[in-house]
Amino acid sequence: MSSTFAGVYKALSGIQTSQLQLQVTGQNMTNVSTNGYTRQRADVYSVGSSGNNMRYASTTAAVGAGVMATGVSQLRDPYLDIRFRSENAKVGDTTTQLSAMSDIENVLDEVKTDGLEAQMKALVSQLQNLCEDAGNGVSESTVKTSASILVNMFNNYSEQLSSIRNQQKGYLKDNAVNKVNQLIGNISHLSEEIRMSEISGSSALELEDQRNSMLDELSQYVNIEIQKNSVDIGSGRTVDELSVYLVGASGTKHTLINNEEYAKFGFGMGTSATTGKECVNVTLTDLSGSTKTINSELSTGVFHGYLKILNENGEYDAGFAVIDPVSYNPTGETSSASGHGIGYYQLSLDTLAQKLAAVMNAANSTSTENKPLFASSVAGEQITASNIALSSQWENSTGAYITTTKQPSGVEDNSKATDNILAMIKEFSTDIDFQTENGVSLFTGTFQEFVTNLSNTLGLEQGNISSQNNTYSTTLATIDKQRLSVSSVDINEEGINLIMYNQAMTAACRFMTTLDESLDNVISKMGIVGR
Amino acid sequence: MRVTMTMISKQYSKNLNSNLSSLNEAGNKTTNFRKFNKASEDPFSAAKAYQLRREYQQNQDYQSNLSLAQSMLETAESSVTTINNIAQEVNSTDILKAITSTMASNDKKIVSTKLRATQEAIVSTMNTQLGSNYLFGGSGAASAPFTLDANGNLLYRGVNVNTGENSAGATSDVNGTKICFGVANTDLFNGYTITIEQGLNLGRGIESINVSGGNIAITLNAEGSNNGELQTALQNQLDNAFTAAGIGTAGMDFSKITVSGNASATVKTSEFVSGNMVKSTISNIVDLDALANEKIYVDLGLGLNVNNNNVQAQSAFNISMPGIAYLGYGTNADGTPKNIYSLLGKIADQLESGGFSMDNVKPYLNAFDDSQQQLLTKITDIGARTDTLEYTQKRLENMEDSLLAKIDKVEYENPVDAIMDYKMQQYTYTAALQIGTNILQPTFLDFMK
Repeated sequence: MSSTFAGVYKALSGIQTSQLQLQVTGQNMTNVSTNGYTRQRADVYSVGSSGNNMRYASTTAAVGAGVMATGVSQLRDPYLDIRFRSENAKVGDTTTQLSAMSDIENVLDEVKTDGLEAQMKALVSQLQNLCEDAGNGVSESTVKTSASILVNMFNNYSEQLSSIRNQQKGYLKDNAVNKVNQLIGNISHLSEEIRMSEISGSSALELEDQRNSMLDELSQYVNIEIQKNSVDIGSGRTVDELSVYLVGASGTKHTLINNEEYAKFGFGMGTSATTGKECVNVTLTDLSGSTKTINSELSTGVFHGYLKILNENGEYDAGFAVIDPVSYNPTGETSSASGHGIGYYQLSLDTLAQKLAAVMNAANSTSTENKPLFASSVAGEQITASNIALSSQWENSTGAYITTTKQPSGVEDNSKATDNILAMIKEFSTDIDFQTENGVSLFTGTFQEFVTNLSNTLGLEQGNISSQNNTYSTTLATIDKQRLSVSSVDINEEGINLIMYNQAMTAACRFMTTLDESLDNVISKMGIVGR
Repeated sequence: MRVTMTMISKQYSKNLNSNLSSLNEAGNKTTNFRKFNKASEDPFSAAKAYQLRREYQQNQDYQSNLSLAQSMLETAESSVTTINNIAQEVNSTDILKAITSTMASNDKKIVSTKLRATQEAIVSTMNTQLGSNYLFGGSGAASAPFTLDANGNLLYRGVNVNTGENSAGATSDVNGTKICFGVANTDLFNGYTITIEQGLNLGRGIESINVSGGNIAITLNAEGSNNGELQTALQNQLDNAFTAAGIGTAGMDFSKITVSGNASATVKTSEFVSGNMVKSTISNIVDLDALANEKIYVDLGLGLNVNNNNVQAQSAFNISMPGIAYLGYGTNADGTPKNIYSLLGKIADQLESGGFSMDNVKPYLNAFDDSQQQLLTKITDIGARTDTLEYTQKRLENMEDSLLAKIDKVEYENPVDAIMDYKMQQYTYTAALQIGTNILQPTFLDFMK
């Protein structure tokens, strides 16, 4: 049998709960457009009658003791978070590559009609013109001008590619690495705060929203995995402790955050053990303070995008004896071609410049006279796209320098012969097997075809990455939509809740007044019959 | 699925953005009508476009070469026709046909004077220039090809057109390396042989030079030396060898020896000995046939083929017109010159000489008939070359048209399609905007009281 005034407290619990629910609704409505906000819900239970402390079983029906709110919780699907984050890493990877590639494409743009290939065409045209007026210093100077524009263009392309490389290096070093370190630090501090407030008994939902947003952001850079452990803090309560791991290419997990402890990424320059070429290194200083390079572990995310663009030289990486990165001993295997980063395009231009110089120099020289047309502007250095220049002999010659024939007739003056000029023109339509320093075949075709092939390789690759990026972005958007579907606030719903909770409150109040009235009957009106 | 306002507005703004970017792309196409602006937009079309552009540029080059060749041939044809007219006029009844054994000495004087004047006209016509080039100079068209030596002999680029004697002195063309012995030594070295040993690999140059003949046999180690070093070695060591052998060096000027050319050229005029040895006899006589058949090639898109520094004859167009091929060179079996200029000179000499007889002049007159016939054949040859050019020009022009059409198809958008597409995108965008104002629907809150 419940006490006389038990109902009053039941009504009170109803009023208090409705009030709380109205508050939660208000919180939801005010945050309708807050980014990363997860809609909240009051956890409400009905309170049962407590009859078990009675000595004897009650014979009367037991009624519950009203309603009680135990707390406020979020509506969120952790599985969608995992999917979102793994997809976000792929989007980060492809977006980074795409942005660098479109920069490279602006340099290697052969669709416009003033590119490297067009300048080669111009040089051939000038050689054709020279056939009409061979041995004439004036006609030859137009060939010289055209060739000098060509070498300038090589220098220019090379410089632009270098500056793209430096930019990308800067982005990785100053933006990506710093940003990730900042995020990791913030997540760790937030986790600590969340834990503290959970220990003190209040839920920190808004802080969790913030942390989730940061984890989303972090997932763009590296492939992460999040683990939450419930820890018993006594009196039957638990708090969640958060750990974040970097999942490597081999599946190894590297701890990034463990409560208040966290790891730190770093940036460094080095050379590849296998190819000996310059490369950038991303390092990780783990919780114990030891630092190691983790390039090979970064299989996706923005970091991987930068590493691919900066470190991979395509066919130029092939054919080297592979050196074990730990023991520094050869593994007995030969390296294979990697992806086409900036290095591939830079080295390809170098190969082209070398080949062009070698072929044209041989065409102009005779066996007894070395008459190079092109040379390196830095004495003693191998010709590259950045240093190719007109040879000083040609540069300083005032008269006819181009060899017009290699088969002089019996008389003195053979300057008008054209057979060697035609041989030079022919070189521009002769197929050449372009190879890397290790003899890995790059392309077989003419000089001009090599340039356009380079531009096309880039175009195809870009198309490929771009369609990958589209797929990943679409998937990401779909997952995000699903997340929003679960977690975002709907005004209609909240409006209905508003009415519902308001009505519930009114009902609880009405229950109170009804009780009051019924008790009034008992207290004031009972036993006065006939008075 | 639970749908919220946030989702709807997010999706709407995303879609509107992609609409706008399509509109922007379509707008670009209506201004430049290009199908692609970057290779990545359409790599396959870009590859095709590059190839077509290359072919188009080649076509333009060929046409420019062709128009020059045409103007050269036209000018040459008119010059050679002039020479032919002169020859015909000379050969007419007024002049050569009027020569009889009973001619009055006055008449002989008139005819010989006329012949001498005609000679001058022939030389000046054959030294015709087009731009800065001498048309009939073969590969040495920088200076006037026809000159006269002190004795009134006609020289073609310094070479006597009848005897082939080089006024610059003896030369030895050893597999492309030209060793010239200078005017002072004109025929003093004749008969000696020069053997050049080449490096085994192409481009390695000369290894050694042997000079032999009489009591002389010297070997110069010349590995890796350039033309200048060879020249010095030859000058000094030949001098020493001749002196040591006790051969009189009177009149010999070793400092006039020069070396030029390219030793790795394909074996052409010299005698091939064995392996990498080639031999040549020193002589001051130039091969006139070789001079008359000299070729200067221009590329007209006939499938240029250069093999070991030799342009394949059918793969390029020959624009060379060596003057001696028209005027004639060398001598007939009976010793009469074949050259028109020389013949006229000889006839004039006969007329002016005291012991004039028809028997003496007759062989020259006959030879003149032959040479004139030869000239006519050469005019026909120019005509044939002009025809080839015309045919090639038509072919190149047709090719240009078809290339332009192809380029247009691969690179450029049909304006109608581009504008239609733009209009369509505009319509879609406008529609999307209109929907947008309605998409944020009234909520439940609007109906709450």
